[in-house]
Amino acid sequence: MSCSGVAVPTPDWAAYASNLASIPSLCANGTSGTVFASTVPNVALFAGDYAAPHSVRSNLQWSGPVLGNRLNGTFEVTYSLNLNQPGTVDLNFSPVTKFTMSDEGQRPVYVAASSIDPATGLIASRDARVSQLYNRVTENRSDLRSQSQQFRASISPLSFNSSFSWSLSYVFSSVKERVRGFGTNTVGNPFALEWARSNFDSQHQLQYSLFYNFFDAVRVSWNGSFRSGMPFTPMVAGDVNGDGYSNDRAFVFSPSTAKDPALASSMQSLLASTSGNVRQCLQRQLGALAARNSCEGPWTSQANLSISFNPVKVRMPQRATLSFAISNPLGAADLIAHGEKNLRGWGQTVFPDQALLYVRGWDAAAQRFRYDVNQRFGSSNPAFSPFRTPVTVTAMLRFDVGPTREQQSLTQQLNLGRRTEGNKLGESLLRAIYANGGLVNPMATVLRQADTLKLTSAQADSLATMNRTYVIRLDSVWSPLSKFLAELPARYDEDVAYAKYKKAREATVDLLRKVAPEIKTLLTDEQRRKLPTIVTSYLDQRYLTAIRSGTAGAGGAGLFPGGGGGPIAMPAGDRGTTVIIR
Amino acid sequence: MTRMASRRVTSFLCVFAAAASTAGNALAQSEKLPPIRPLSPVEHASKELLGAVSQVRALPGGRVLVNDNAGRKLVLFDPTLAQFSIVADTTSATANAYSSRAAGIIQYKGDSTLFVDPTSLSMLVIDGTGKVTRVMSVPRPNEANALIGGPNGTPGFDALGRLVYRAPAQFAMRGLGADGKMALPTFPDSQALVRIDLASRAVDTLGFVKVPKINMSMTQDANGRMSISSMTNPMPVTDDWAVTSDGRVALVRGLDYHIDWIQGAERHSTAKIPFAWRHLDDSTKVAFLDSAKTAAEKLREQAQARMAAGGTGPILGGPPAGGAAGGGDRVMVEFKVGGRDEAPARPNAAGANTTFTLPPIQMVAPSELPDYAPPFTTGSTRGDMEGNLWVRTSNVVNGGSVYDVINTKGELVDRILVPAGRVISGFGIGGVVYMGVRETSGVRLEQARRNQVMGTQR
Repeated sequence: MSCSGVAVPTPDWAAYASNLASIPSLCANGTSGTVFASTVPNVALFAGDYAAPHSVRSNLQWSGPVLGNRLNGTFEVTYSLNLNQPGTVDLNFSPVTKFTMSDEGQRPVYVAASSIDPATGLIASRDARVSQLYNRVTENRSDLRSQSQQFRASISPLSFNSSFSWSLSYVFSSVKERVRGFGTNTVGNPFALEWARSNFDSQHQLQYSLFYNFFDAVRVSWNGSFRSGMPFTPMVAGDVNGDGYSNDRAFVFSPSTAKDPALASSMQSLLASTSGNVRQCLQRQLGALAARNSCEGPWTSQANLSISFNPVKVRMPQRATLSFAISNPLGAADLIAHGEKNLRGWGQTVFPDQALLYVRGWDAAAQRFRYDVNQRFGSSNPAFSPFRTPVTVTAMLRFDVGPTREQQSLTQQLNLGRRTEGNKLGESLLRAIYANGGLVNPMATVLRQADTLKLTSAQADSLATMNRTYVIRLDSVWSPLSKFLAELPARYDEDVAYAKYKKAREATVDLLRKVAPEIKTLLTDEQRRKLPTIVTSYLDQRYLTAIRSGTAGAGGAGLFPGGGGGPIAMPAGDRGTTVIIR
Repeated sequence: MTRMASRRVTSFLCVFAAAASTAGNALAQSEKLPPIRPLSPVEHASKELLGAVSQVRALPGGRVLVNDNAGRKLVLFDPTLAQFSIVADTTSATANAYSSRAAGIIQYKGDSTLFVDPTSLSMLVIDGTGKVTRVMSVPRPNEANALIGGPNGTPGFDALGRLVYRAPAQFAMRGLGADGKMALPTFPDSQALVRIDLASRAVDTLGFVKVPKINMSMTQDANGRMSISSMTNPMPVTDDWAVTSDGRVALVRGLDYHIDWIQGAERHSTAKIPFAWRHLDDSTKVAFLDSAKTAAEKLREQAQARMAAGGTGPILGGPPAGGAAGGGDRVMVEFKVGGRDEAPARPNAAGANTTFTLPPIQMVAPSELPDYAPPFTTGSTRGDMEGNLWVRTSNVVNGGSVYDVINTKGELVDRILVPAGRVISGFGIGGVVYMGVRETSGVRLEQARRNQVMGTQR
């Protein structure tokens, strides 16, 4: 049952409470015979050719060092054509214009003037129905489409740095949709198709991430974004064209030409008090029907904060990891800085008030609606928003309870031919497996990239000299161990074997820690910037210290030969900086 | 080269030589061929037994630097080979450690020698007294293994001081095939001979040499076990190369046995070198393949037994290795089992339940063998101190190899018979040759001479 205007029963709440039978089951006029009373049902159906959405996408990306190998740059262009987008039409709507409103740019109205309640301005849409047996007959179709284009430019430092890192990205995007008035908004025939900005067409975005390692004890990672405002449309709160939907865009009355003095005054007041971008949007459209998504909300910002502790420095087991994740720290900062009553909306999602006009009545003689102007139109004040992004703090304590990856790898290898099926690994093969101690040899890696790094002969010879010394010492560490491991009986003590491995690994890392500063000194700044990340991390004392006894608590085995020992690269932010987890 | 590998080489050479000799009986000898002459009696022999005599570098005063790949040491002998000192040590605990893998020596400027250690990507400059004077980087680290000599040929310096060597083959892994199964790469049948300026690191290609092509295939059973098999041609026609003492580069072509000389920017080719080509009829080919397969199967079983006992895994169909005493002989087919002279195996990523099973030996069809026995194989050519080329031919007399001596004009001037069980590993001044001879507990270094030795054999 649908009652509108004069057909709406006057509520008597006390009577309803005392006697359920007094709750009306008919409209106020007692019939369904007037335009203001309707008991016909709504119908929803799917079109026969309805199909799931699909899209055709293409992207082009370039990534590489820029600015003299100081930064790593990524530039990417993406295009997406989205087909079979969903939409609706009301099959029971008859788009026959009954009259037009001269005060509102000849806005068509699809019901007779008599179907508009003068007191409230509410419209009975029965006149606009094809069949009086039904109210809305909503057909779901998939004949809409949209297209999105995006350009992204990202930069981040090329060199690995365990103390500080950052990334910055700028994104320009454009999203356009082909839509109907049904389901969105309209100022004319809702069947008509038009291309317009998407509701999600935030065109500019800055994404950033920062990482800082305080005293090698506390690692702080902050990532966030600044986003330009989302588009929104000046709307009328109510149905003014008689199509049965409250989806009509507002006519932006000019204070100087509006025939209703109260309306003119209210518009003048709004234009004087509202924010700059809203004022510009309205002034641009004075005396015209508002365009779809013609206004923009304010820029917004969002962020996340992560704090973790170096277990070794805070006297925790290396296997333990303690971290805190704080979502929406900007909201917390807003609360602290401005108090609960004066929030500025930092870190909040903005929902601008889109209602420009409220329908207050119908002037049948002049054939125009009486409106109130919403003085909070376009406002994004969080005090008026029921939706808030909360500030949450999540504490996570992780403890790696399994054997280290190195121990698993060693045990698997030693068990071959002893406890599991397979050929027992001999001394020479074990020696080959652990020729580099299961770790990256930064000198060999640098030498193998001599052309890329443009090493001079003197540099290469120096590196070769250092490498030979290192390799010889490495051999003296691992050869006895390989012999010992190869001679292990079928029933051997895994812990003893691993303890010996661990001792050899620590000796190897100690060698690397001694030679790493010399390697760094040998290379020029430009060459250091060109080094692969894996080499840079192996020249970092903190990193070497962290992996000295294994990768317990850090994971990452399998990235490197010999059973691990390498860093894990994890995205710290949106798509930028990588953080080395130890 | 390890002793085990040396025995393998010997086995195959015998098979190869037997086939060649049998066929040779039916062939007419060319009148242009000089007589086959034996070397002089051994003048000096080392008291010290080595693991191998891989390379020998003669130094002023008759001293000799010997690279023992199997024993992992570099030894400096006095002129009588009676006394010696260690230049690079077997142990890994000293600064002058040899290497954890095979290493090589290259004749360098004056009386200096480069000791190439591929493990550390370094080259030690050793002076005439056996002292390490400085360390250099290998010019192209990814090709360091190509500098250790052996079956790839002996690297050397041309007249302008550029290092000449056979660059390793470049091929790309193919990943999964169209059927979703792992596909092995297609191995090339030729490799580039390159020269590099150590100062500028500029590289240019001198030419290409034909090498034995490896034909491998991979299959996977229902349990996911992968098996790699190799189709072996035990008698491939290949090219060889060498740098002479005066810096000329010789590309010795195996198809018709001629030489393409390169001296600076100049290039010229010789006429065909006279050679007693030996025709192989069908029955000879079949017999040869049967013998080769039998020998290879025996090696395969030995390798399988070693693996079961904890030895290292094999690499099927690997490149040919050095001679019986490390001197550059040809192995027709080899199952490398990760001995100390081999490249390190990759870590076993899976780590569990891995069983290596060597597949049965597969030989090519008799029709794929050449109609004439190839005159030599890869790693057979060396330059002596007088600018001559010595090519170890496929001719075997009384178990000893016959070397063709080709002068600077490209003329075959001599044919030298080396006693059985010996391979020439280097040369000295005045026709001196150094050989390794295998004995029960090691390899002994011997010095003989190519001079006017009485007696000839045809």
